[in-house]
Amino acid sequence: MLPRPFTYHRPTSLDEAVTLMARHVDDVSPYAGGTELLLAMKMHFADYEHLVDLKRISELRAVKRNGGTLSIGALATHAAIAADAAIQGSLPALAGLCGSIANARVRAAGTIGGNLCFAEPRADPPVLLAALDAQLCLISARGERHVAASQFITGALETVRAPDEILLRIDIPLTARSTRYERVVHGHRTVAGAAAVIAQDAHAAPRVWLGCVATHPVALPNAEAHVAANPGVLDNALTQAIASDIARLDIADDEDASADYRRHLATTVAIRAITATVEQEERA
Amino acid sequence: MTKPATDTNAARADLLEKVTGRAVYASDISVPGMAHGRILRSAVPHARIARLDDAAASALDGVVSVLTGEDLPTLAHDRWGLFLNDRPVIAGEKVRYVGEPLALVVAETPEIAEAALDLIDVDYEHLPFVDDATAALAPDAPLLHERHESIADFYFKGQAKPVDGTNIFQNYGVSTGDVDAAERDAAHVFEQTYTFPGISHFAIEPHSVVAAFDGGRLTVWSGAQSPTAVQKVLSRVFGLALSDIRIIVPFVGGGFGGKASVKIEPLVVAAARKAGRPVRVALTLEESMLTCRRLGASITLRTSLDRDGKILAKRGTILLDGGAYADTGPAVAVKAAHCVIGPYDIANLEIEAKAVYTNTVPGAAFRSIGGPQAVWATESQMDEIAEAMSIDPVDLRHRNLLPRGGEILDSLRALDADIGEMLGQAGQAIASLGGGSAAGIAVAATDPGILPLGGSLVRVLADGSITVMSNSVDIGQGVRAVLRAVVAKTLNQDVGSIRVADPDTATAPFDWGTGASRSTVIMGLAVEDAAQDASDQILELAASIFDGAPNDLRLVPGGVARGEDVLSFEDLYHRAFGIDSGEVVGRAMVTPARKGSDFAKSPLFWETAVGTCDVELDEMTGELAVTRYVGVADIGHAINPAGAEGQEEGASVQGIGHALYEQLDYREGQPVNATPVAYRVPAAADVPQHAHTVLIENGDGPGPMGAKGMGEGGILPVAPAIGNALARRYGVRIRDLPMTPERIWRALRERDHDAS
Repeated sequence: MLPRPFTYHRPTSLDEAVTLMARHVDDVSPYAGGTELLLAMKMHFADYEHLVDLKRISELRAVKRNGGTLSIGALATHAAIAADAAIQGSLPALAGLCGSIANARVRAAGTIGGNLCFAEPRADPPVLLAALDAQLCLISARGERHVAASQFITGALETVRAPDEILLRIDIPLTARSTRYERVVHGHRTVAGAAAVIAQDAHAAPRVWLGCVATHPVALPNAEAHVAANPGVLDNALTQAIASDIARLDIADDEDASADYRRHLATTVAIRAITATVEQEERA
Repeated sequence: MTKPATDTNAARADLLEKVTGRAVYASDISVPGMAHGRILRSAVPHARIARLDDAAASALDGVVSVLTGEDLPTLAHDRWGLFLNDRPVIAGEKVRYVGEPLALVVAETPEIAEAALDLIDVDYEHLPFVDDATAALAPDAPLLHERHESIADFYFKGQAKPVDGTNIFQNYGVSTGDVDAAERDAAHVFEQTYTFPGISHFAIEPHSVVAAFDGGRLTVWSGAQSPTAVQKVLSRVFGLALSDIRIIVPFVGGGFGGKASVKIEPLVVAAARKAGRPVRVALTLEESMLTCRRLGASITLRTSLDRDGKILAKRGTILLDGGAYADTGPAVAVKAAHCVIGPYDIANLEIEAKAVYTNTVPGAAFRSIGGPQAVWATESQMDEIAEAMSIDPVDLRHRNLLPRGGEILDSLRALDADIGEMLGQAGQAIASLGGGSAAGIAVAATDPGILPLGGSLVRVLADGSITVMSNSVDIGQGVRAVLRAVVAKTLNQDVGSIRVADPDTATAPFDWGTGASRSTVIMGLAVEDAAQDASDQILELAASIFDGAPNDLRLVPGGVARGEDVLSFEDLYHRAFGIDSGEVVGRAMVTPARKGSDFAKSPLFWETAVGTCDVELDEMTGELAVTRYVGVADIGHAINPAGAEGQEEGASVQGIGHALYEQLDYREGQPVNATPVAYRVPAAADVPQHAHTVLIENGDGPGPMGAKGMGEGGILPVAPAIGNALARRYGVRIRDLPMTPERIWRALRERDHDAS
């Protein structure tokens, strides 16, 4: 199918983009890589009067390291993140994940900001970014604001982004000592993905997040508590803690997996992610 | 100068055209005055069309016309088919599957046509539907077609045997010996049921057709595998002479059988006729997935053996899900019935194959029709028997394989390959890839349903360039390269001087179609004969000029030689015709009575395959990877070795998709994954890290240089070889394809539960 007719805007500055978003706030979407948005519009799952193409705004692509924070522009493509020396050095788990998302064409066009804002339930980066406690910077005519990645996505294809807001960048604190993302992919889609992050600060709580399972990424609090109380211990109690977290999630049968199989996979990837961080600790 | 360039890889001129984007496909065709069509499709599986209101769509600015079921009475014949006259040109009284064309809007642009689709109102009067073949057999199952009209010898030899008052459109049986008696004498009887889902062809180029009338004459550009079948059906539907219908086929971006026989051409031509304008319809991949698919199957095998592992008898019950229209499904049932026997010496056989209508996408030919379904059952069961009887699976096969020259059925040609030797080669080849012996193996032999009817013209032009006219279609398999190589060899000319023209029914002779692995043999012989005819004519011309006998002369690149004297074609024609122009036309028509060929018995050759592999399983998640794969095929002679290997390996990779992921899934009559987003075919990353092809060449095939047909057989053993490897390495047996991670995980849980 063809997308329904829309007006295409191609601003060359951020100010211009913010103005366009404000002017067409009733029916507008920012347009970054288009790998998900355009597909959805062609299938008539999504429909906008106005698209504001952000690709001509080069500052949105910047990747910077400011002291203990890594800033990734929302328009950085998956391929660019995978190939960025600063990210490879400071956050190899993120570079590795972005280098293995979907296929080469999607990685060349798709952006990390678009991935977050589209909030596809099977997307991997939001899970890892939530576990890393990334902060998202959004801009609109009303000014800038910051939202934690862990609070950004609220449901399937739902975020706290206001209709006129543009995601500017993602700020990631480089406070982790070991980080791991583990996933199971069937065909084109991840059916379960889990991130485990152990902080450098021994007093800071470990973070374990699960995604691609329910409608959006969620923390696994019992697993986090168990890892905090028993660092480096991989035992049956850990498995039970993870399983008790997953038991509380609303997981339905879908075309990729039956619910019981998906719960099993979710448990498996969470164990694998935590196990990998323990192994990283032991090697360190 | 006397040694021609015969590099067969160089013969694939199409590759450079394709990678540079210059190759022309049907969807690239544009003709003056052309309008664009988009199709409204049924949203429901089975319904009477109570009302279809296209007034608002017709009134939309830029809409030229809207074709609907109301236009059916204007056609000479409003239904068509290859075996059964069952398919309306466009849905009339009712719709029979989700995706069936209901209306075709023709407009100035595709955008307008698509916008107009939203303005068409359809009221459905829902009917009970059936989306499962077993349910379609029930006495109270809803009937898709109230009556059956079987047509004999129309484009396929013979006819389908539908059963009145049921959904059964084909009923084929094989019966030899006395199975009951053999079962009474048997030491072991094994009975298992295996299932195989409907699978999408997923050719990267969707179906595309441009149709243009010029007065009473019709030209159609289509990515069709069988141009003369399209010509014949259009002639019937529109009441036109065959000579008034011209079918042109540019390059085709993958067929796999999904563009064989006839697909959307009658619909598009009907729209062009109503619009009074040339019309282009280029489907999306989603729409192609709603156009045809491989037939799903459920196969029950009851196999009896003596205490030494010799098969005494086999009973096979095959039920094929044919979808809403029969298409070539009746032939699929026949092939499945033959293929399920296997290349084994079995004296007592009772095989029954039924194909039934269901309210799903119509079934159609797909690479080795009926074969993968049958071999999945037969070769999985061979391993199950081997395990139960504690016999090595390769040994069990050796105990039962027919030798070269043995007969699978009296009515069929004797086996022309040594499958035991192929098994040995497969074992050696996979061991040479490292990692020890193979875990899984499967063998297969199938009888391609080849009609030996096809012709060609070979035109030797004055400057020494040569045009080959043939209706064999290059669907990516490289047939043009094979034809160039055959002509180059026969005429002793550089391969670079030979061009194979686009298939065109106005200029090239009849050919039955591109499928059933037949083009290398049938069109290969046709161009070889035509080239020989041209050679005879040229040498005769030259003999008069050299004033000698044709026997003293020989063709050399660019001309004719006697001893050291060389006469170019230009000089030859100048002296023979009085001007330095003109041409020699060699012609040939291969028919069942071709001299020097034995075409009396079917098949012309057996397509044989052995597949062997190893697998690695993540026992936590059920994810299975094929780590090594070797395919062995006896192809007689590889005219283009790289092309032949590519065909075998492509078939293997497509088979991995069939084995592990692919299934056109239905829930409540609705296709749930008929989109490229939801449906998965193998990608480059899914190709086993270690893959190898062994081609056996004894020069004993019926085609040019001793070639047999090939390109389909490689898909046959893949799924059972993988399933057998999984069972042997990890102790779980899957009987339902695809072997998804979830299915394997459940089987692992059952295994562990049984063990504890």
